[in-house]
Amino acid sequence: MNLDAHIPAGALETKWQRYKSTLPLVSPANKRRFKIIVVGSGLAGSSAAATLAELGYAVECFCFQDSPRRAHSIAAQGGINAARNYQGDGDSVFRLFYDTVKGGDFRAREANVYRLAEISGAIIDQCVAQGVPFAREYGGMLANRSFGGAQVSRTFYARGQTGQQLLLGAYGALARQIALGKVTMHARHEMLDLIVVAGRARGIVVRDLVSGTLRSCCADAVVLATGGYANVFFLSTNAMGCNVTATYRAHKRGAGFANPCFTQIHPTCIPVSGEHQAKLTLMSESLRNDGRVWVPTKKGDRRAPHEIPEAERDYYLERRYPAFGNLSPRDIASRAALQVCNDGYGVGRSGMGVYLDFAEAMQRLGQDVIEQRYGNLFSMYEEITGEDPYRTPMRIFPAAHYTMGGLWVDYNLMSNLDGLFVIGEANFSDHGANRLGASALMQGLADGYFVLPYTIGQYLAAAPVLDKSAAEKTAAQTQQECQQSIAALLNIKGKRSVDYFHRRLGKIMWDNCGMARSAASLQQALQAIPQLQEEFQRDLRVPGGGASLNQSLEKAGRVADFLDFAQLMCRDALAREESCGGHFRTEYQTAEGEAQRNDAEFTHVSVWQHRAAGEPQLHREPLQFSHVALAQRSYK
Amino acid sequence: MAITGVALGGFVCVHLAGNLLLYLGPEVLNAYAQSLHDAPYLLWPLRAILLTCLVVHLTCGITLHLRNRKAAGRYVKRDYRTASLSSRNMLLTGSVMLLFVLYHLAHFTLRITDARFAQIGHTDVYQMLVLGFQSPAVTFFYVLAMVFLGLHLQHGLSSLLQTLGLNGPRYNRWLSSGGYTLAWLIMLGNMSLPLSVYLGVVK
Amino acid sequence: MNFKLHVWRQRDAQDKGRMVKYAVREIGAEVSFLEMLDLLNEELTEAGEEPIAFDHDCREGICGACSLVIDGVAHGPGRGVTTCQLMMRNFRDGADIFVEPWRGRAFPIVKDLVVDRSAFDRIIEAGGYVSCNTGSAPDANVTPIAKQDADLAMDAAQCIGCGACAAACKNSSAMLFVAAKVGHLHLLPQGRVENQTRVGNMVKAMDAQGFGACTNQQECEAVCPKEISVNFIAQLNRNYVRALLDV
Repeated sequence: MNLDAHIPAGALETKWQRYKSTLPLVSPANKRRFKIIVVGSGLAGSSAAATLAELGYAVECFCFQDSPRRAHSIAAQGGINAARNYQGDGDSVFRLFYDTVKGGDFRAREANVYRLAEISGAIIDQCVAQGVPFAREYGGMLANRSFGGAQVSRTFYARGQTGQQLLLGAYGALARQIALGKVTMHARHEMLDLIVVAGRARGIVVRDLVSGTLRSCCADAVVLATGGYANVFFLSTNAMGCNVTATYRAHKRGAGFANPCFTQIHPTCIPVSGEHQAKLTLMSESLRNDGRVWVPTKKGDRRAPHEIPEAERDYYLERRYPAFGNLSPRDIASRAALQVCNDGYGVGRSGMGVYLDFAEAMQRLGQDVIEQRYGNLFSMYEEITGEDPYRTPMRIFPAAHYTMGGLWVDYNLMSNLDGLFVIGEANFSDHGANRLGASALMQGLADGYFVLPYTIGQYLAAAPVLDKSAAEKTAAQTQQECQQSIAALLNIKGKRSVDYFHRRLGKIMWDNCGMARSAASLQQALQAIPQLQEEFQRDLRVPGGGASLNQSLEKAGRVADFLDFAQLMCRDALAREESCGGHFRTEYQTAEGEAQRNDAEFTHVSVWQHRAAGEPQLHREPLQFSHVALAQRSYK
Repeated sequence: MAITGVALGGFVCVHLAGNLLLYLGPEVLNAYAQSLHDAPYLLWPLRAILLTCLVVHLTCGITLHLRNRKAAGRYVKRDYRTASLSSRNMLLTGSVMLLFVLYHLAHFTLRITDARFAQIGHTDVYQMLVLGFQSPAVTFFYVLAMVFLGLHLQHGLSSLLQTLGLNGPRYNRWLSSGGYTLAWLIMLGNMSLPLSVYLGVVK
Repeated sequence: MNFKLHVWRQRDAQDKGRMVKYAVREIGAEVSFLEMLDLLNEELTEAGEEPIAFDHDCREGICGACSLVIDGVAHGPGRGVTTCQLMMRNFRDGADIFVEPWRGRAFPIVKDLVVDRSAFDRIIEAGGYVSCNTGSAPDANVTPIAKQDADLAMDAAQCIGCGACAAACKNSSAMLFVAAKVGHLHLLPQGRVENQTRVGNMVKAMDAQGFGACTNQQECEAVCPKEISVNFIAQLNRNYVRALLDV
């Protein structure tokens, strides 16, 4: 497996600028002859599809939702980072770069992260020009707020709906290209497989979710912008439809899967309330700007929060990480919450929760200000829990939220399969072992608006012309294989619903490969999952047929892939014998319970290659750090 | 709808103001009627404008209704949270108004429904009213029609500024309650006429 | 809690469809409406019946996918919430609950409670954006925008495109949807450039998609999960008249 990252030579600060201006170009007249498939219409997908079409390429865009505007980027709440230093608080491209590399526990590529930080400002410009109503100061200038893992205010936001507003901006740009006939949009279509001809990605097989028909679509390049796989935990903050199918099927066709064990557990979610819960709700990290996290100092204290005097409260984040306090990075805050709950200090009926208290902020700023900043989040919380957070502290608990791992890509965002580009959360590139808040939106849009549109040209300029007949032959075969696997799922005719298996898989993963992992727990998972998989293949029930809208069938295909993928994730977690970022192996921790990296052996990207028979093979892309010194991450 | 509605609504107001002269005695009312009669260069163009507005209002209303019926979905169970009874039944209240206007014209303008009117002069409006509203059936029909007028105007007056985009958040509440009040005042004013004759307040 | 559900079942676009009764038992008050349907679907699946198809995705009230008319009201009895944010504690134990899809000519039913809302996408394609290519933008702080304008624009921009406005309207009018988009862009200097053409094109597209006309009943505002104000409709009308007079 060729894992050359193709990082251009030269100084870090000028690398991207120089590279960009030396990339081979495709002439405007030729662009429309190239067809590019974009799968997914979230921030990365929409922005890429729109920009590629603006450049003149013929774009076909697919999404499984009923409209591209509903992709899960829409749910991002808090904000988007950019190194603009509008607040004059000392921010710079280098600082954002440094924070991101450090936040990712030194497991990301320096060159990629620097480019991301460099582009971040242009994203804000672009979004403002599109009419994204970012929050403003009274003087009319853009407002900022702080996010975890940073000591400057560099997060731009639109109330608690930043993702929505950014996505609507990108969706607008996409809609414009659809109206101009430059993008053909296929909503309610799910990608089932990748068509690979002679080592090159040449198209995809999709299922029209309404009619159930399978279709192949051939193209000069394929861009996957299909998001992350946090739903492997069943309960997560991801939308119900988020899945690993597109990336996992591409992996099965030869694309390397990088760092699958790097998953992010978000510290501020509404705790699980019952066994039938289908979804966890995130409360934006921005709440930690003004909310203080605490638990009672007495174990199993069941008093109501207002009855607990100040002296009997443990503001454990402020105590343990005085420099960053409540704004410690997500992995640290999550782990700390889990720790206090495991030690018996947790609150709420299940004991799996900590308080996020706004009493002090309300006294300092007044309820009006709090309402203005977080009004929609507060009402959302009240709607779900029936408790009024203006009067009583919120109860929060960590939940699976984001996945840093993904398909391996080089500096050009191309996977090891020629012609297969992967952008946004679907790739592994920029966040290392832990993503900082408000960086996902930044990365998705950077990839889609400002990186891929340049780098894809280089590939297309040199790629051999699409051999239609060869592509169609492979396509027919791939399509047939998809048809067979659908038929197989329908023919099991067992007794249990898809959700039954998904819920069980989720529990195995959460317990054994969640916030804390150990060799023993991972081995246990690696035994349990194949058993569950076997049961799935024997006892699954998918009512209805394949020739119409069948939501059970859609889910069955996705869960079948999750069952495979979960094993890859555990394998990766087992192989990485260190703790870093979101990957916490209980065997590897400092005396104070912090993550202990093993830089000598694990300063690399783990890339897994699928093998038709036998276990997947591990390859390594070593990481070099020349501009930041590897140190133990400290937020004290 | 809104523009012609304004014209028709304006007419209703003027019409009511004229009729309220009833309470000032036969001389004043009849003199008013006479003065209208003496100014055909004013009366006939106004009538023509009104008729045009009515036709346009009707045509728009029916077109709108047909288009909306075609677009609308039909639910097995439906509940409204805000949409008022009057706003949902403009076609019904409007149709009743049309019937009423036809009858009203036949009654007092063409004077073909009441044989007794033949003995009275064209401009002795006072006498016509007094005679006309002695019948309980006629009085009841007029009062009932005014309820429909009230409902029709209630929605019409409170929402025409919205259609024309002439309202604004700062004075919206005032405008819409103003529309409601005006509609009810017009309704009550109009109702008072037949009732006061019938009950013998005006003789 | 126990409930008697009356759910619209329809095999496909051609099927006539009918209400079907289901009993659901022992539902906790903290269970959401859609989780209650999940439970029913699991029961149906295990009994070998086809589960009820309904649209849903984020389950936190922002993607706009969920779209049920519950007891005759779009998104059900909650105020300012989507169907997915509705909890069973809002219902009386033992109640009969009617569940129907959005209805209207512009929202044809695909299956059971799933409807086709692509008409909304086509309205946006007609002009619901600022025409600026990637990379052409000036510095974000070059044009100051008054805070109150940005806030008001955000009020309109919150629209999640769920379609409740049109589903609840007696006339199936999509005015609030169109008004929210036009209003959002009209309030910002970047969007104002194309205002004239946008207003006409989007209204035309709305009519072409088969939506009805607004008769100011304000039911849209009352069911909108983001509580978008009908003031934006007045603003749209004003813009529309202005565009007519100017062209």
